[in-house]
Amino acid sequence: MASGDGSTLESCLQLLNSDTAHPELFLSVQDALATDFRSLTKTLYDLHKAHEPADCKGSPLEQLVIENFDEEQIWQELELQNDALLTHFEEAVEQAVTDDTITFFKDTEEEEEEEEDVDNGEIANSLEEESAEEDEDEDDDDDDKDKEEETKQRLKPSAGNEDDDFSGEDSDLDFDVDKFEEKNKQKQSTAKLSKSRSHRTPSEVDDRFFKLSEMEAFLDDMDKREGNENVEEDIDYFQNLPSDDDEELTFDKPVALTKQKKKKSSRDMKYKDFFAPVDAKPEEMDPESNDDYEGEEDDDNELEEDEDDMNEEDFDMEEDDTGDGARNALRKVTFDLPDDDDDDDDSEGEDVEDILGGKAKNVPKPESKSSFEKRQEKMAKKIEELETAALSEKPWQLTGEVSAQTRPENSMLEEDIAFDQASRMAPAITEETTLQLEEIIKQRIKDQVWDDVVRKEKPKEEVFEYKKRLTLDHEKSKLSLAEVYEQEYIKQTQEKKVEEENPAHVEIQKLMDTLFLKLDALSNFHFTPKPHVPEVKVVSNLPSITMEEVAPVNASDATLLAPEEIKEKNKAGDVLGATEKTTTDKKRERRKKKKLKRLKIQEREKRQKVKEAMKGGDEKKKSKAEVEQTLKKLTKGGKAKILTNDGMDKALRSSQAFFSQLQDQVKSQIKGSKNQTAKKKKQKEISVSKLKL
Amino acid sequence: MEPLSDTDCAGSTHTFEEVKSKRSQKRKRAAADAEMQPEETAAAKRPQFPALSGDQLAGGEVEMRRVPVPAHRYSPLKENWMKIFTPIVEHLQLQVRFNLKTRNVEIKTCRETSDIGALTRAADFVKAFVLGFQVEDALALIRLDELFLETFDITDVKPLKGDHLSRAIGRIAGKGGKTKFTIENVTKTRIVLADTKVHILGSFQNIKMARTAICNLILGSPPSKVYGNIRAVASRAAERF
Repeated sequence: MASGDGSTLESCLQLLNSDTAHPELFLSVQDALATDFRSLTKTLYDLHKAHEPADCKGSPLEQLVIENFDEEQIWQELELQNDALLTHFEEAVEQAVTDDTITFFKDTEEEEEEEEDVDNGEIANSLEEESAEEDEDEDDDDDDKDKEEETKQRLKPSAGNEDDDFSGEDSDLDFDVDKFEEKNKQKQSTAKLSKSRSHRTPSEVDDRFFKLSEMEAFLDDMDKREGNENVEEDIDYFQNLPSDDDEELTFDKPVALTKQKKKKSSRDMKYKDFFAPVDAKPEEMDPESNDDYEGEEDDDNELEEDEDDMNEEDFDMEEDDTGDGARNALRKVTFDLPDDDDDDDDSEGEDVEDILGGKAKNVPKPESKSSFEKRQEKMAKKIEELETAALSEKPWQLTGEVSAQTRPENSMLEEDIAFDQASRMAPAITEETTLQLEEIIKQRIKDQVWDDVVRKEKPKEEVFEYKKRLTLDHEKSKLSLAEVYEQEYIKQTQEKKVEEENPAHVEIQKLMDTLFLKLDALSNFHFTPKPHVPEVKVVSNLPSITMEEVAPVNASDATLLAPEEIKEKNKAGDVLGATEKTTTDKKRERRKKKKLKRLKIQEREKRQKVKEAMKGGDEKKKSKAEVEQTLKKLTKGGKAKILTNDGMDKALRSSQAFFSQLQDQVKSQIKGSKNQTAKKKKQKEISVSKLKL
Repeated sequence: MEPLSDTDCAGSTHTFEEVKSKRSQKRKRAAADAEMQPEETAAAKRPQFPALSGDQLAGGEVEMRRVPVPAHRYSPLKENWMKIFTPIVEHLQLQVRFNLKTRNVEIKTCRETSDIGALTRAADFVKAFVLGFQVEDALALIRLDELFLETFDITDVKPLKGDHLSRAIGRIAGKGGKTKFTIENVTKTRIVLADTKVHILGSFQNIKMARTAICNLILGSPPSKVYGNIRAVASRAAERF
């Protein structure tokens, strides 16, 4: 049976190879090749169905039907078979994975394989075939796997589109396990290569897990090792030292240190053991990823009774330990607690360095302190700082009123100060404000609304004119009181009448008058023109307010003329009352009065002289009035006396009498003056004598 | 009771009934009552009285006023008698006579008198003439309602004696009566200066103005100042009206 199968398989393979020899043909549809593939599928399916074990049930179809069947229908048939077997295979795989008795060998043949990308199509029906056989003998898993991988390799070049799609789901599961295992082995190998961690040249196929250059390097190394058969237990001191990041990952550490087997059972493994952190780049993740897989490698290695290389284990151990340390160092997880205001670098969290004991902070307790103790320390430190700050002098900002001398130079420039301003700030001139202004100006210009100053004119009204306006009738009124009130009443009522008068009527009247005048002139023999009616313009003698002011009449009682215009102001300014005047003021007034009077008199005399000069030649006789006037002037002062022609005056009788009288007068005058002086002396003497007594 | 109440309740319910608000009902009721009363009670009519005549107002009695006439006004009364009694009798429908024995002018109402206040006005008119006013000026009392008569003594304003009093009187009068006439003209009043008494005839506001001016004169201010003041006051008063 097996041989028969093998032959059929061989023939199938041959057919397949021949058909796919020229892949460029597949750019166009190849119907002939399609029929070949279909028949091939059928034979394989039938073959498999024949060898199907009893406990695993596939589809009810014993044979694949392809005559007159569409691709879709053939596909559904296969799906029937695959779905049924899916669960079966899952169980089988689980069993295989958890089985302790199974060990995985690291074969060189396996490492030669490449599985960068997942090509599900490789693991076609042949896998199902193989797995069926696998159930029977689990001990041969390794061999089976070898076979699987071989078939994988063989089936790889199958480029049939339909075949690829058939066994996607199945292959996933199988693939995962296989790939996982192979990766492990691969990573292990690459880890060994990581000794010489020189700069890797990135290639196209590089991934987070796989580096082509690494693999090649590892392969070279293994070749060498096979050749040498010498495994170095000692450390090679002349090796290339790796870069800084990897220092902690070097495997040059003494073996003794690394004897600590930090065993990690499979139960304690977490995500980070399997996978690299999400944020990290593929380049950087090399050490970590390597470490992860190396961690697992330990478990796997433990299972191995055959330990190929002690060193490998050691390396793994080292890498594990150092890997943890490296991991921690790289990650540097610190707690980002909120710091105090004053403290700069104080963090209440536990620094990783502290945990690792990298820096020696406290001498008394160089070993690890409890978190509480550390917190207490920090608290105490803070308290100290606060106390010193409280006791010490305050900074100038907190010392109340500060003048320029008490604070450092230009320190105010660095401060942000808020203060109130009593006065209004000057308006900030910004572009907007200027634009607004300009808009207003433009609008004003358009509207022709100027701010021109109107020239003020003083109203030229004399004081007496003003007085004339307000006449005071000093005479007895001709009208009786009743008539006065009557007239007032009529005036009030008449105002309404005047408003009601139609201006049209007035115009008509005017026109008629002119017309009649003309007619009269033409018709009358003796023309007597009508007397001219003077146009009377009634000017009401009301105060100016009613005429001119816009404000309501009751509001104010101001008059047109200013007080200065009513009565002229004194040059000195004050109007002095009789008692307020000083002697100088009185004398000034007197002088002024005299001057005015003198001017008047002079003017009058001038006029008279002019008159006399005019008349002078004509008449010398003065009129009676003029004579009387002159007499009056003469006798006014009392200097001259008019001698009337009564009996009383003796002087007028004769000239002798007159002159004798005159002589007497003069004598008496002289005597009088002499007597006065004598009297004065006598008086004095009397007083003196009296005093003596 | 409203006629709507019972009949509507008994009636059909399928139609909507208008429910009137109570307030409006009350008002309507009140209005209805008011209207109904004159209609309802024909017997109790509202009394309609014709307007009373003057003498009827007085109650059918004849009222009389007496105005005494001093001796110095006797002859002016005699001269102006015609002018006095004509308006009283014709316009006011009063009876007037001069009682020679008592030297009083007596004014009496009669049947024809229609106006009640006519008697008072006539009495005031005669009194004004007796005080010293002209007949035409006193006639304004009859024609206008708002005119009043005020009298005050110079010594009420300021206790003056002898020459000062005379000077005060002289200030009030002015040279040829100038000041008095000025005040009369500006304030639209009539002033009678009888020895120490001053009588002013005019409307209330004007009397006040004149009185202020005269008081100022009595107290001693010069006439020019008084002119200025009364001019200002008078213009202000004129503006108001």
